[in-house]
Amino acid sequence: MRAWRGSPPAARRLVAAYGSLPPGVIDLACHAAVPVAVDVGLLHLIRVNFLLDPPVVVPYEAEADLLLSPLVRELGDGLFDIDPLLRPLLLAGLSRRFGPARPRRVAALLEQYTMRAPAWQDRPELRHAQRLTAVAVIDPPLAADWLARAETSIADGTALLGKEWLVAVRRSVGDHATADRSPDGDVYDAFEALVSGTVETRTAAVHRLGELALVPGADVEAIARVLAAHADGDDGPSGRTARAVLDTITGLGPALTGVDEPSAVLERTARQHLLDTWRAVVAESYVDGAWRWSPGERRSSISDAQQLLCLLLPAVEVPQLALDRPDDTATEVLEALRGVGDSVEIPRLLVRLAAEHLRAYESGDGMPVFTGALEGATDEQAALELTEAYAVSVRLTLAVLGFVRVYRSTVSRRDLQEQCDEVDRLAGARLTAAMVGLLRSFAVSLFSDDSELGSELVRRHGPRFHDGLRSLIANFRTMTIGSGTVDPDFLERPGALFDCGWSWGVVRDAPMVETDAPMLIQQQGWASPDPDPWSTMLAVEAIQALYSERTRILGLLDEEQQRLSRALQLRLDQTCEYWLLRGAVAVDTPGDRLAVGAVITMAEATRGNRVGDRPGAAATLLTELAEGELPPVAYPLAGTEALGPRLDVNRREFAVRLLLELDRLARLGRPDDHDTALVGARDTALAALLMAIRAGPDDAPGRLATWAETFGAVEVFTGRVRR
Amino acid sequence: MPAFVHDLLTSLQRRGLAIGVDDCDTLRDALASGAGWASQDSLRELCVALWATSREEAAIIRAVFARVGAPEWELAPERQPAADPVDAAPAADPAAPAARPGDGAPRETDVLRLEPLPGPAAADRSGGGGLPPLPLLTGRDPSLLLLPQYPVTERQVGQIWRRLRRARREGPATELDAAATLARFAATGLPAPPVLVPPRRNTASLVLLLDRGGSMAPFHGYVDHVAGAIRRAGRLDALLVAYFHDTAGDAGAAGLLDELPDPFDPAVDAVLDRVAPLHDGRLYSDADLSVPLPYGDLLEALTPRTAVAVISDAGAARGALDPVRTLDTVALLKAAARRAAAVAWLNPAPPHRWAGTTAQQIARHVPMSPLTAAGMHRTVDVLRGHPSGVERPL
Repeated sequence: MRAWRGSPPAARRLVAAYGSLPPGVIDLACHAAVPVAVDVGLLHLIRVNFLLDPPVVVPYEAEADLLLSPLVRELGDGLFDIDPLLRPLLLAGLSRRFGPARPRRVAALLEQYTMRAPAWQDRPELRHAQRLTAVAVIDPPLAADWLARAETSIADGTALLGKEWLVAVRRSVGDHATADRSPDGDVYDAFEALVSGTVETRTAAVHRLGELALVPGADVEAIARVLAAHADGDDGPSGRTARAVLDTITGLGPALTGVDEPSAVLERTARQHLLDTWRAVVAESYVDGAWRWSPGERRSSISDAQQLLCLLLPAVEVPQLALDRPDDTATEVLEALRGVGDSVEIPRLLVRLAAEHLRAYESGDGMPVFTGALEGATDEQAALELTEAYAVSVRLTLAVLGFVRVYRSTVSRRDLQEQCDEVDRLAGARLTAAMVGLLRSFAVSLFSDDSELGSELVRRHGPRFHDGLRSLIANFRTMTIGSGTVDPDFLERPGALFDCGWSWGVVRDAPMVETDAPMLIQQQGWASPDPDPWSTMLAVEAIQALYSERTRILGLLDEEQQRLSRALQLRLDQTCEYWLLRGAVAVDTPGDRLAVGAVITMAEATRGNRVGDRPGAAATLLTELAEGELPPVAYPLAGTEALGPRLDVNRREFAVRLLLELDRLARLGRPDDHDTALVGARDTALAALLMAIRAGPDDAPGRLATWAETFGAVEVFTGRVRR
Repeated sequence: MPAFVHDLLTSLQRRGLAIGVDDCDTLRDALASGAGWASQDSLRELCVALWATSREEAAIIRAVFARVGAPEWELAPERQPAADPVDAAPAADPAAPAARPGDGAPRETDVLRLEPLPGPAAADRSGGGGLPPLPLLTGRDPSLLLLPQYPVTERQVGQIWRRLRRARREGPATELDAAATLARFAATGLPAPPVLVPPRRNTASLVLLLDRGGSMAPFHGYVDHVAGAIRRAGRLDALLVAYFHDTAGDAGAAGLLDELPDPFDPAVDAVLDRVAPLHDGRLYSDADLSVPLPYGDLLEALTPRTAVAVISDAGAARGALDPVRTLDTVALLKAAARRAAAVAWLNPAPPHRWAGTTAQQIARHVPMSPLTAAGMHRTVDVLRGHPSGVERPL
């Protein structure tokens, strides 16, 4: 087996080794890379101490196989060392494959052996180098300090050993420092260079990824997928190189000693991304101790909530990124949020921000409002509430409630407790109001099978469509509160069809929802009662969050909210069943098709593991979209014309949303679902997202152009870590 | 049974300690009688006392014990007197030299010798060379094993090579021959002094020719372990170990290669009979190949009771095929075969590596076995005179 053309020398040697040596030899080589040099006795002790018990059992022959292999150079006097070019890779492989504690264990053996091996007693340079190496692995700062002092004594001429020794030893210690950096980080860097950068840097990144795939314990599968996506998408030199690298990697097949759990790289990458986003959000929003809401765009309840969710969502969904227990906050988290303060100050700021947000979107008499930033709106239009605002508020208030309830249990200061209680109360009220809003923006439109839409549906689905809808009609009888109540008897008539989902806002003539919750404005509705796929998608997503395990476990809903959530559930189920039945038939714009694909995917997820052809339909829909362009679109808000000019809302978060839905689809996880098109689409979409993050706004590096997109990216990465 | 016991037993078995049901029963009985309950240490030392038959095995048991995650406990009051049969010296260095003083065996030159650790706080005194002192970070980690664990244990090697026996009655008559004494009494009816005969002793002697350096370097530890074990536990009358590198010298037979009918055939059968025995080759009496030992002197010492075993990879470890080396080796072995009882070859490289190398050719003329327990059994059989069945004997 030969490595690909132009491969780095280390990769060539590793490929040759994989092709010619039994797998255990490479594992032994990873261990033997720890000392400066090994003799037969040390190599043997390494094997019997670390490679004699399952899961990795390496036979005695491997010792000779290694020492006689090209991985090793014979130094004379019974000493051997690992090829210096390979040493950093093998050291990285050691912790990757055997865990981060393994190098320290090998170093402990090295130190004890060095103290006892008679053969080394009269070789001070070797003894010192070996012991220093052991110290460098176990306690790097101590080794650095010792080296500095040794340099002085060597410069003074008081030491027996010369400068050459010091240089060699520094290099050896340096290998360990390089290997300490996570190989995942290297994969991630190469991965990023692949999706951005020039032709040359992309080709270099492909070579580097190939090299990293050869590191023992590497996530070969993830790297191969990234390379495959790149090979498909790039006909230039880097694409060709990617194909050549893939040929080599797949040619080696099982010889590569990859990790058992795949995609660890991408998952870790995802967490890294969340931390990067936090860094970017804090740098942009928290300036001189003051918080700026929705910097870079027109402020609204939607963008503010998205901005706050960029911080809160990962904190409540990803245990490693939790912020609600100051004593347990992870170091990497503290580092990312350093701009805000320490583990005590971070949650305090979040509570303060939540309170600020919840009060900012209240009317003068303390009632929650859910307006958006509509371009060119009259005063009356500007006061219109939007389904999107209801949906994002449900997401935000659930996150806030979960956060403050845990955080409150950790604080003992009275004023902090009171602040938490206040936020809890405000968030609860806003959640109720948002649920009522969703109940009043549910829309059902009726039409007959001789209408344009009706005839298209019947033509595409055949008479089964009628039968399918008929089974749903009875459900309307159980919907008694909120909008979208229709007369079932009307639907029983032959040829009657319907369409259901959410409109962009409270629908015309939506009745008031009777609730015992105080402080509730129930606006008059102006939205046309035609379901809009995008709003439907947002509403379905928000309502599903109401039933999430987390919401149930933390008991976030009060009694009134539970009553409202049951009413919402009826509409959710009806909508899901309807769109599963209809599919994307007669849905034309890419954005709407994406939304329908999302609804079908979420519907399928709530149904559990029922196997059917529908996720196939969603996969086809979404992978098709991944191949095309998704330009920003102005969505008309039908019904606004009654109050002035007809308004549009601009959407540009399609690319992020597509990846989010592709991930969701992939998580439906059918074991037999090896749809390469889906895998390829996900990788392409991820590459596009990373590129977009790279090319983000000049004044806000590390985030996407809008808060909607940035929040979308946070959702993507949160989903990828949580899985 | 707690999980750690299972791990302990399987780990010990993987390290060559065949702990069986009987051993477990012994442990159970000891526990039932109240031993080993005082602490983890006392349980460990109980296992050592019951199962270990050598200091090496004791060290293995202690190290494995430290790895398997046995629970730690300490019953403070009144230790059972039976608890710690060998606990008197728990600090005894488990990795102490394996030599047994006083058994008269020549001291091994080579088995990994370990020195006692300096005091824990000691910086590196020896060869400090004016550099700042380096602290010792690890102390003694009980779970680290500092004893080699080769594929064949010392005990196994000893058992195998003790089969190389040529018992003869030699020396002063000191042993009672009861049958002869009775027979004489029956025949004469007179009280007479007992009939004495010289004691039986093993007169088998062995010459080990060890290949050294080059592709043998990876096997030095194992080969030394085997040679040392034969020396200590083989109970041979005489053992001579001589070293060489690749071959013992140029037999001057390279010219014969031109006379081979097929220059591409690695076999040298056609000229085999014409290879003259090597009488003036060069061997060494030390592993560093610094003290020469003329082959002629060694040949002089060979007797029909001497077996000769060569331990070498014969090019197999690196996959080398060298017809000149085949001829030189043939010359060396021919000389030995004329004087000694038998000649056999042990190859530390696994047999699947022999094909296509000098080893494959040499194995056609000399019985060659891998350096494993089974291979050594076969070699001892050959050295005792069993037919070897080689394709083209010398």
